[in-house]
Amino acid sequence: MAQVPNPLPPHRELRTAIYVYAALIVLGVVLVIVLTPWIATWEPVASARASDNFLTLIVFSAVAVPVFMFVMVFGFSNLYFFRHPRQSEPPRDGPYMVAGLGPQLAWIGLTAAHALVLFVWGLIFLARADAAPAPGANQLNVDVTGEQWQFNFTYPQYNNAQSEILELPVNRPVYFTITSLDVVHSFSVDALGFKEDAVPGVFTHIRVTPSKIGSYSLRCYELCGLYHTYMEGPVRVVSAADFDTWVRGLKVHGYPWGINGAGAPVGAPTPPGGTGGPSGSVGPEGPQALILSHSPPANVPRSAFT
Amino acid sequence: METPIEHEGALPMYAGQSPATEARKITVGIVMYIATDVLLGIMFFITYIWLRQYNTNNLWFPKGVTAPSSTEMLWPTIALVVSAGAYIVAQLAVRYDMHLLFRIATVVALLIVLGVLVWEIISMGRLPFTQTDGSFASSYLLLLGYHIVHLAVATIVGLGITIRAFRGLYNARSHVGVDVVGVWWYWVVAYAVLFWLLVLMQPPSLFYS
Amino acid sequence: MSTTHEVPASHEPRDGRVSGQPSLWQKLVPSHLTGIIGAAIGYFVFTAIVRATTPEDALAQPDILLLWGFIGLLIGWLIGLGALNYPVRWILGMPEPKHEEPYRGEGYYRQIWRYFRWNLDHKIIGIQYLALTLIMLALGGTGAMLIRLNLLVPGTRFFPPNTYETIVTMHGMLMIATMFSIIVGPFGNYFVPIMIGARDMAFPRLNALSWHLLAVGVFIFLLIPFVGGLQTGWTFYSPLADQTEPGAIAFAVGVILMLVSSSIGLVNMLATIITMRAPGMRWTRLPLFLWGIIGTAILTATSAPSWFSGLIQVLLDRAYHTTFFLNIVPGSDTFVSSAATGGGNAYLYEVTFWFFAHPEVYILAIPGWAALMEVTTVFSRKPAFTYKLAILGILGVTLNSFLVWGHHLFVSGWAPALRGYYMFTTELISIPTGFIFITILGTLWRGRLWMKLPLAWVFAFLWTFTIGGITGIFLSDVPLDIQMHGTYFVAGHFHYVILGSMLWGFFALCYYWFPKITGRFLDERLGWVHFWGTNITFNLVFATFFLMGWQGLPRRVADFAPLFDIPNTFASIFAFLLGAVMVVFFANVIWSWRYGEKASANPWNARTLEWQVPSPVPPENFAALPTVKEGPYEYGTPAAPPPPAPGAKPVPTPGS
Repeated sequence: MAQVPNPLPPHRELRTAIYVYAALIVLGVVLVIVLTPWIATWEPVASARASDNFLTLIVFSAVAVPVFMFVMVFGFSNLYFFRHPRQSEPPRDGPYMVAGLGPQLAWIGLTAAHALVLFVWGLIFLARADAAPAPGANQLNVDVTGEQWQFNFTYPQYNNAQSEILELPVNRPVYFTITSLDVVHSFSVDALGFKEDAVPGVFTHIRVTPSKIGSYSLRCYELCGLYHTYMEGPVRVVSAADFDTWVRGLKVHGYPWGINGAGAPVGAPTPPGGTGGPSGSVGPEGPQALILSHSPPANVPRSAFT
Repeated sequence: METPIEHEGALPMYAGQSPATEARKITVGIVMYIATDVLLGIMFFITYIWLRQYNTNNLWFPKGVTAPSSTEMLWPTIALVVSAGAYIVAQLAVRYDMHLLFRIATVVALLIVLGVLVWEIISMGRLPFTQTDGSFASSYLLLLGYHIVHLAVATIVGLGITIRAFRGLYNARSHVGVDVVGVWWYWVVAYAVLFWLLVLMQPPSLFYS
Repeated sequence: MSTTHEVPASHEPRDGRVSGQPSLWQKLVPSHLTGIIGAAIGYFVFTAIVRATTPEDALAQPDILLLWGFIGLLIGWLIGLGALNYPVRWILGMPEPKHEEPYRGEGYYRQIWRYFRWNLDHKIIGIQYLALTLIMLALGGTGAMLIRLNLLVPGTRFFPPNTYETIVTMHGMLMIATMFSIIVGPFGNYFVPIMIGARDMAFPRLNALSWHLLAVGVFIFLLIPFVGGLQTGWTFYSPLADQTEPGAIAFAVGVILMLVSSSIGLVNMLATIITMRAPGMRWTRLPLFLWGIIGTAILTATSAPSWFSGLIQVLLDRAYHTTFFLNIVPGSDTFVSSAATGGGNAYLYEVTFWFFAHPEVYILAIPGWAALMEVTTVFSRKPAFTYKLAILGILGVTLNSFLVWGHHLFVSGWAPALRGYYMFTTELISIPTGFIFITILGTLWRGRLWMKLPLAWVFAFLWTFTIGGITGIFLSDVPLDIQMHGTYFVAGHFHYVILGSMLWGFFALCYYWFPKITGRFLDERLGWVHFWGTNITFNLVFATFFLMGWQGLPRRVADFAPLFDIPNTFASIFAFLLGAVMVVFFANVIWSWRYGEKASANPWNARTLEWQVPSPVPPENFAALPTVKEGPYEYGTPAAPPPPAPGAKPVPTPGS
């Protein structure tokens, strides 16, 4: 393998492939920009976070087009250009062609540049998503507690008012503090574009600012046992006035954790079930596209196959 | 090319390999297997450090639990270091065909390891806590149990080396078995030293109490 | 043959052989039959001892009983096989046991019962591996069919959630275990010694142990439904694994055995490649398949201890109530009723798991890449375009995969400050992966493509793995991963990646090396049916996954929202067709083994060492060790037949 390869004479196949490659890049990028928005019409996009993610999806798809088309063109065009006509007998050997240093370095440079672009994009948007709100913004704190198989919500700024339904005011930054009582859950509102695990014994955090009034769905995205499938619920994003009415109508439980979970006592009992239901006005009924239409089967034994 | 190998479990299959290749093969392979086991041991130490660092719910070392005595485990650790020294003597002796010294050294190394094994099993039963007393207790017992298993393996292979030494199966030309068991021996001893330094020398409630 | 290797032609058995026919007693004792009897005895003896020595209240849960029962089963299996005879005799300074000897004799060699016992021959172990991994593939595929059956229509019509999650768990882990060993098990064992010009593995007994541990591990794993099921998924996340059904014991013990089995097998191959290469087989003359084995072995041996430690801690948590992951009040057995008040840490499990399970993805991918590069050179009749860059790619992926595992924990809340770093390393991995692609594309370009089935699977790889890799870029981006994590998008991504590299590589190798193993070709017409059927149905099923994932359909749920009715039905129907196509493949393997068209020693005109010996390969592979004179892929050199005229001028190679 040590010898330096002689350059083979240029050939028309390479030129043809490069033209096809260029044409397909243009076509692919146009297709991505035209078609991808169609995918996003099924479930609403209701926060800056979610719309940033959607933008990233389109941009990354467009950036991926040259990579995809490179493999497709320079892989599959071989079938057209260089195919041995008869299957029944082995062909003679092809030209002794191994890469010189130049093409290898060019390839490394191109893939590295590609990775770097994606990385910088990711860093910028990670910083945007995680940015703390401006000092004057009236941040809403919500404590989320996962247990098998539901999420409970506490509003520490409103006398620890507790609810099994998540309701958020529109255009107000929300800071979730998430934990779990038993196993690992993953708290997510798909329309708001976020997801964060609820881990027992640990408090995790995520920020989001809902930007569109509507009714969405939340659910658990980490397999958490028997009824994981049914660990879901509605989310209402309402106007600030409606939220205020609703949250003040909730029962106050004096939930053991304080604001952001500080000072959770060891071994504290869980508050009794049956929290305050929704009262006051609620947001408009939306599609809640991810909510199941079937109720969970009753009396499922914990043990399978019995 | 077809130099037959003299003994040490050489299969006819390898008749094409020279004794030097055979020894290299066994050394390289067994060292890699032991390296894999070392990584498992390191994972257990990481478990210890991890749980200590997180101290979830302040239950790393709950109130009312007593730390194990560090001096009680110091003497077995020193004894193991002595046993490693004896094993080094054995390895050197067999290289120069000093068979009496070789046999004595293997017996000494084996007896010390056997004694430490018995000692550790006894001390495991006398600990001032059980495995349900917080995560320090859990990880301490995990680390100790891992060492007991390794001492047991060292005892068994050490017994093999001793018996084979007395049967005269090793000499200056053929001693790869002694060498690879030596790698295991030093790992078991090094683990004991590491265990004492990381876990026993400092009290578990150094940072949290 | 157009090779310059010196491979002696005669294969006369050397002296010291046992000849003649074995008696029935010699065939059966020891064999897998005595192994099974020993396993049963071991299980009952150990459970009886535990019952007698454990206080009554500790036996309220069957965990401790099952744990020791499985350990007894393992020990009984090994004793029954005669696997422990050699170590015991070694300790006593006695010669090797008799039952391990006859299997190197010519007269004993050609009989079917040699597959059903403790056998030290690497080729027999390779075929044992092939059978076992194909059975595992069939079982995992059955699991996939059952999953799709439940998702055919909404409303959990077929299985309740507990059964469904158990099937999901078993499908996942069985397929992972299959992919773990489906190339390195059969083809690694069979071809590593032959390709480097050796007679067997460095440690034939450990090689046999590797297969027998995998077999008993899979058996224990398959007991999960009979000991209560398991609702964790293959990730086995731990406070849940501590809390769920006793199936977790079967899972953990079975998976530990699988991990130990692959570590033993792969380190053995690594030692073989390092120390037993034939004269002249320099590092730069190793076929790329062996470089893939080297990368895989390093990855497995380094990462498997991590999950091993996590699984041991789960076993201790369950059987002895330690608190590694548990979050209960010490000394109490209640789980949900007490708020999070234990000393355990769920992140510990997630980290030990992913430190193994991310490199594990590359353990699945690297042998597939290596296999496909190997096949590409042979069927395009050209040297590897960038041989050294391909090695660098394999080793680069090996190194890099230890730095990226945190990207599975982007949403877990663990070390949020490190997310940028993990995003960086994850996107870096596209560079060494690109080396693999440039090797394959450059080798194909201007070659003389012989469109046989192995090369067809290379093209399937180019399509499938490119899509898998590109969707991986979406998931490496932190904000986008926070949206897509845990959805069907991820499921679609890893099915494209793992099947695209590992399974397609396996199929390519099957069609490529089947003539060498059996002396017969796989049937070509059935092969093309399998090829087109698999690729069409596979893409229809898993492209639907991407669509559903972007809409937010979570993985591993037994039921789904009305939004997903039509895509799920669509995916299920084509998944059933994919299953039917797989039946064609299995039928092809079984039929062709017996009745396939006969093959010559080197039907593909390949230049690596394994094609220079007869098919099927005789005992001990080489009468005398060969001498290697050139690299593995020197197509188009003066030693080879002259290339045809148009356009391409052959480049003379300096003599070696």
